[in-house]
Amino acid sequence: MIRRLKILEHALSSLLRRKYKNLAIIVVYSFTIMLLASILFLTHSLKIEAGNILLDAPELIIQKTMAGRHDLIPVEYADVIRKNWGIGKITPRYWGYYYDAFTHSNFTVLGSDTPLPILKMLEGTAPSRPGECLIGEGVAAVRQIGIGDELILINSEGLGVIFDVVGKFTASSDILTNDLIVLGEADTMDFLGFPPGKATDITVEVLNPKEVQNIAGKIKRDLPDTRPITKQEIIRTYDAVFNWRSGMMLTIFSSALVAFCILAWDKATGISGEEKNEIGILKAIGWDTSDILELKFWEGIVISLTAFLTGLLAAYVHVFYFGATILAPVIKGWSVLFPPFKLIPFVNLYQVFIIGFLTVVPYVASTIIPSWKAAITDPESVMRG
Amino acid sequence: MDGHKFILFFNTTKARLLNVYMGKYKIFITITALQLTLLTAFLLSGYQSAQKARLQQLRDKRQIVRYLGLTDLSIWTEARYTRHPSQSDFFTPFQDFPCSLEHFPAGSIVTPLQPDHEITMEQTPLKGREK
Repeated sequence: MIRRLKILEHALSSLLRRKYKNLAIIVVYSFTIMLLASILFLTHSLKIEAGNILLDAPELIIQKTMAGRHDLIPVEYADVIRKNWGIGKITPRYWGYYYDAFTHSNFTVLGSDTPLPILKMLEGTAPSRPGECLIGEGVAAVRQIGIGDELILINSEGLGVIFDVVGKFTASSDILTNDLIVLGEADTMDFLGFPPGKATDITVEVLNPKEVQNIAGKIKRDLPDTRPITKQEIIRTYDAVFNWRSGMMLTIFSSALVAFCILAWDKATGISGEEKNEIGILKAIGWDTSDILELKFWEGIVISLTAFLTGLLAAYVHVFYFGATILAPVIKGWSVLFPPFKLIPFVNLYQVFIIGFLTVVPYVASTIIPSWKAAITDPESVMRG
Repeated sequence: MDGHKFILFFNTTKARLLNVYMGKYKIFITITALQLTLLTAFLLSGYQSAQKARLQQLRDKRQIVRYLGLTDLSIWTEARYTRHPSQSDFFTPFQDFPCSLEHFPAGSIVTPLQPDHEITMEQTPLKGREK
């Protein structure tokens, strides 16, 4: 043990002799690991949160399609759907999008007459009378309004309509409600110009969740111009969306990985004359090849472990304390309203080990291999270069 | 003790302490142990807050989802298919769908159109109520 510590001590002294070079390596290496870990932390956390939140999404949504696109659904389709066994409540949903020319942002307008329970994430109340609205934090921020203020929107006829803001979702629910404007159902139909008897889609409560696929199939047979979307499909979509986003993130991920490969390659393709000289001297004064390999192993471990732990700590702080500020512009795209990420720290330890395995092991190997080549050569010829 | 002597004394003592009582390996092991402790503390507190969030925040969010019948996260608001990926069109020529191939490669380079005319609140007639 003492021998090992002495070799570690020697390795540290040797690294400190080239402190600026090694410090630069640690900085680059840590930054690479921080980027890789940030991407994994962010996507994993978003995926888990989406999977958890959307567990309460409607069991089955029926959309009408026309010419391959989503179309408004006649409300009387509900009567056809109701004929199936095992079906609970059937609710037409009235919602749509609103482009706000004043702020150049898109809002989602949703009609709901369901009274909301008391929630920590809701200040004020849900709309209970015509002309009232409940808004998300993003809408309140871009329009610079709050509870008690008026929200003026332009309706489908080009006329301005005033809504009184009676409630506001707090920032902690941004991931769901940032761009949301909740109006009463009648207000929504009037504002968005729904033709009478038409809704955006219909949600169907299925009493036995195991029957969802069967019922979806039956509805599709009874109403061939519809497209049933199950809750499982919604959850799966988010799995895919974050994988796809991860795919886009792969650009950053692969750039960081390439940078790391260049770093490791630089180490693996050769060691400096000074390092060779050092190995020659150590051999000449009686060190074994195994001692030199152990020395180089410790040098590799010191650098890679320090960089790995620094990178992981930085990634954790970056994603979960600073809302992934470096990555946010990449994910944001052209969205004007973009919720700040206040992520719940779901971390997959398996991913942490994978990052460790993919970065620490190759670096240590790339430190040892060229040293091994130098260590098995005659000390004199090594020292002569 | 004048300034120079003090600095000399300080440096000598520091070097002795570092070399004799606190070898470089001890400093390295201490720093690594500190980093590991900090990381473990982060992960543990993260795990705890995730558990707490599961009970409180997620429960509230799930209630919002249930009462309003929401289907998607409000992250990307630039297009229908990014705002509601789960409700987007299945298959349409020139479709809007995540991961669909870009029909025009320029689409990923050209910035969105900036409207020439701004709509102002004054120009907009009001329905029903007085402004």
